[in-house]
Amino acid sequence: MNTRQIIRLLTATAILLWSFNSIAASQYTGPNRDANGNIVPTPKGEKCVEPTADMRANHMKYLLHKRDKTMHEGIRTKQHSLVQCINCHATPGADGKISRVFEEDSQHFCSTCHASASVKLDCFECHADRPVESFSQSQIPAPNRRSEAVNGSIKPHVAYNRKVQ
Amino acid sequence: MDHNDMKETNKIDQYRRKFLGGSAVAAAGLALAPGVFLHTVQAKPDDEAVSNKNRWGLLIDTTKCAEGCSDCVTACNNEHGLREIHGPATDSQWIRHVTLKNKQTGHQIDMPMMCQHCEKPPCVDVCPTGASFKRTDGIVLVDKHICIGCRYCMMACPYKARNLVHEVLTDQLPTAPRGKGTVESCTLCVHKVDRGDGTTACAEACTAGVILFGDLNDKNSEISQRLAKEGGQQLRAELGLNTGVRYQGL
Repeated sequence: MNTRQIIRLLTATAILLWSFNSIAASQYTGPNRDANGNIVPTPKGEKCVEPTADMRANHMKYLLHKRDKTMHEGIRTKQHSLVQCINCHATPGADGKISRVFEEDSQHFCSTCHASASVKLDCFECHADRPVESFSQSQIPAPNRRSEAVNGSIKPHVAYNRKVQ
Repeated sequence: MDHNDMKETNKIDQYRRKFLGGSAVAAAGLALAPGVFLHTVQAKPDDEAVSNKNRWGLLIDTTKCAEGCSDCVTACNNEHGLREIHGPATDSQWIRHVTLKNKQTGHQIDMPMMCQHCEKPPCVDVCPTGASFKRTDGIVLVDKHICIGCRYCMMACPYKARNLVHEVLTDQLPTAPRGKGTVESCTLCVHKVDRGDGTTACAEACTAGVILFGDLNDKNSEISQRLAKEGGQQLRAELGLNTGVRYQGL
C-alpha cells in the first residue's frame, strides 16, 4: 500500500465516521441539548414566555426587572417570575429525580448552561431550585392549622418544644 | 399670630374637616357597587401594585395567650421554612413567645413578639444600601438582593425583631427565599397577603384567637373596629414609630 492509498483510506474513514456522527445527531431523540451539547431537562408546557433566542440573551434582564416589581410593589404575575421558570424547567431527568443546582455534575436546566459559560449562578443560594411539589411533606407548610384544630386532628399547645424538621 | 387669628384659623380647620369628612363619606358611598361591601378582603389582582390604601397590621390580645404555647412560632417556622440549625442563640426567630413576670405582684403576661411593622421604621432609616424598606401598604421588608449583611438594622430595631442568617441554607421554600449573610424578619406573610389570603400563618395557627390580622386603614375591618372599641397599645409608644402591631392587656 503506497502513501496515496493510505491517505485515501484515512480520508474515506474520516468521511464515513463524520457522516455516521451527523446521521446519529440528526436522528437523536434523547434529552434536549443546548447549543453547546449539554443535556437540558425537557420543560413542561409548549413554549416559553419569550422566544428561545431572546430568553438565552436576556433572561437575566427579565428576571431582574421582575424581581424589583415583585419585591417592592407586590406584583406577582407569572410572566418572568423565577418560580414559574423553575416550575416549567426543573423537571425530572432520566433517573426520575430533579437535578439540583449545586450538586456535582448537575443536570439542572440553569446550571448546565451556566457551567459551560462559566457564569456564576447566585439565584439558588436563596431561591428554590425545584417546584414546591417536589419538596417532602415535612418541608411544605402545614395548611390551615386552625381547621385541623377544629377537626380535632391537632390539639392546641401540643406544638410546644416540638422541633421543626 | 394673635388670639383672634388663632380662633379664625381653628374655625377654618373645623370647616375643612367637616367638608372633607362629608365628601369622604359621599365618595365611599359612590364607590360601593350593589352587593359589594367595603370590609371584605378582596384579593388584589396579580398585576396591580400594592398601595397605601391598605395598612396591614396585627392586633394581639395578650390576655388569651397561653403560657407554654408556641403554635404561632411553629406555624411561622413551617410557613417560611425556618429550621433548627445551631439552636436559639443563632437561629432565625421571626416570632418569639415572650413571658413577662412582675416579680412584685407575680402577674404574668405572655405574648408573641415579631417585627412591629412601624410606620417610621428605624431599620429603614439606618440601612446604608436601601435594602431595608417599607412597602406602601405598611409591610417592612428586607430586599435581600441588595442587603450586605451589615446588621445596622438589627442594632436600630428597638424590638430586636431582626435576625442575620449565619449559615448556608438549603431547601428554602419558593415563597420564602432566605440566604446566608442577609438580614431577615417577620414579613407579615407578605406572600399570603399578596395572594389575598387575608391572614397570616401565625393568626391562622393560633387556636386561642390571640392574633388578628387586618387592614388598619379600613374602618370597617375587624381589626379597626376592635381597636376603636377596645383600644390597643403600641410597644414603646414613646418612640413615636406608629407600629402596625398593637397589643391588648399589657
